[in-house]
Amino acid sequence: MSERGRDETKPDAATVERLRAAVRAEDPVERAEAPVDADLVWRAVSGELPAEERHAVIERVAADPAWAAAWRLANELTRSAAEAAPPVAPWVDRPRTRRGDGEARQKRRFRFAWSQPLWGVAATAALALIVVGVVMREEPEQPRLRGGDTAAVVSQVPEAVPLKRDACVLRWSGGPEGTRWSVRLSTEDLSWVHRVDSLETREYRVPSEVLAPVKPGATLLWQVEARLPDGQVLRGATFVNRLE
Amino acid sequence: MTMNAPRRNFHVEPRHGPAQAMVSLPAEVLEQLREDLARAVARVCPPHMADRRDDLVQTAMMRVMELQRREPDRGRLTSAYLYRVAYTALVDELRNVSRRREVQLEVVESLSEPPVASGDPEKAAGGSQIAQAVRDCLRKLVQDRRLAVTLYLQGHSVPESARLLGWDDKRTENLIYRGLAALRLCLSAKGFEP
Repeated sequence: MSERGRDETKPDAATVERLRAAVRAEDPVERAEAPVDADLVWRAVSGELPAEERHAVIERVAADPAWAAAWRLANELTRSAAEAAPPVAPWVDRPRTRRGDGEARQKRRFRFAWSQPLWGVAATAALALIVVGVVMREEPEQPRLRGGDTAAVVSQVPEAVPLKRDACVLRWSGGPEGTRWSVRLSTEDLSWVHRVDSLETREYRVPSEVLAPVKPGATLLWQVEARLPDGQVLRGATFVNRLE
Repeated sequence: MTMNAPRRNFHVEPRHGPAQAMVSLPAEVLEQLREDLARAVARVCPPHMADRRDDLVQTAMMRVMELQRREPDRGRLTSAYLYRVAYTALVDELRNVSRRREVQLEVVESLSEPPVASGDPEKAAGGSQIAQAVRDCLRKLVQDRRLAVTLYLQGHSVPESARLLGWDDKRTENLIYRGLAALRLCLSAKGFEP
């Protein structure tokens, strides 16, 4: 597009401000079938979500004044949070430090293994077995992951198998005994969102009446959060399955 | 049975252990948070919710104070985390305010005498109609333009919109300008001249 073309279409500042004011003034009434997912909006605005999922959130913002208000609020507060000085050293550094220590330990172990001839032979044999095993186990129906910036939770639902509406059971593995689970489901366009908390087992049977608004053949995104017995929360990646 | 084990970063949220000795955040941290919340709420809340702004901020601050009471390790309470907690509380409370308002409207509809409206109801109704028309017209844009124009109308600059969408600045700018032109045409057809 030429510069001239851009100038021809460029709106004047006053028009833009009037349009923005009209959008800001809208009543943020939430629709019961699409409640605002504050966590999702925050992650979208702060750049934690991948672009594809961020686009889906922006689509909700375009369509729904409550999501739009939540977006503007998140935008204001993520900026303020970035400007505010942290009161003390960020807690997120601690896991990183631990993880860093762990990596160092792993490297030391690795060097130790290869520096000892017998260990080296054993390690080579083990590595070969693992490689062969992985190649033989490779299957085409590997569940597709979307988004998730994390992964402590592993789906036990093959992606290739559609979920039955009247027997929609999500299963996963990971986490120690005593973990409480939360599951969040949504359609790709986020027009339908469902969440359940404090599950004690590693599966969730989605009630058929909850799935009623979802069209047959729709793609369901689901994500599991683990609240560990020590209080830590681990969030799994987003898994994708089609609804029958 | 197929298994997968994505190996990426853990997202770790702070522990929520049992209540222990109260650990206070510095007063200036809380004061800064309160000021930022008040500013954000003032900018985001529509005019008809002006009388609820203090309540919204107070609710969010109470959630933060509760978190502070439960969190024995002050080191975990980073600014980013506090603001996120406050934000979630604000969204919850906005939802509650809207629901209460809907209930009140139902009560008003059942009254024999109409209540006296505060502010300028004609102006408010007009603004609401324009916002609805903008939303209808956004829906008619092709997706890329809709995404770009949506962010622009939410107050983002061209570079910010480009970064959020993962596109380059020039493409985003073109989408915004052409999308706005189409939006204005659509609004004109509906009888609105922005």
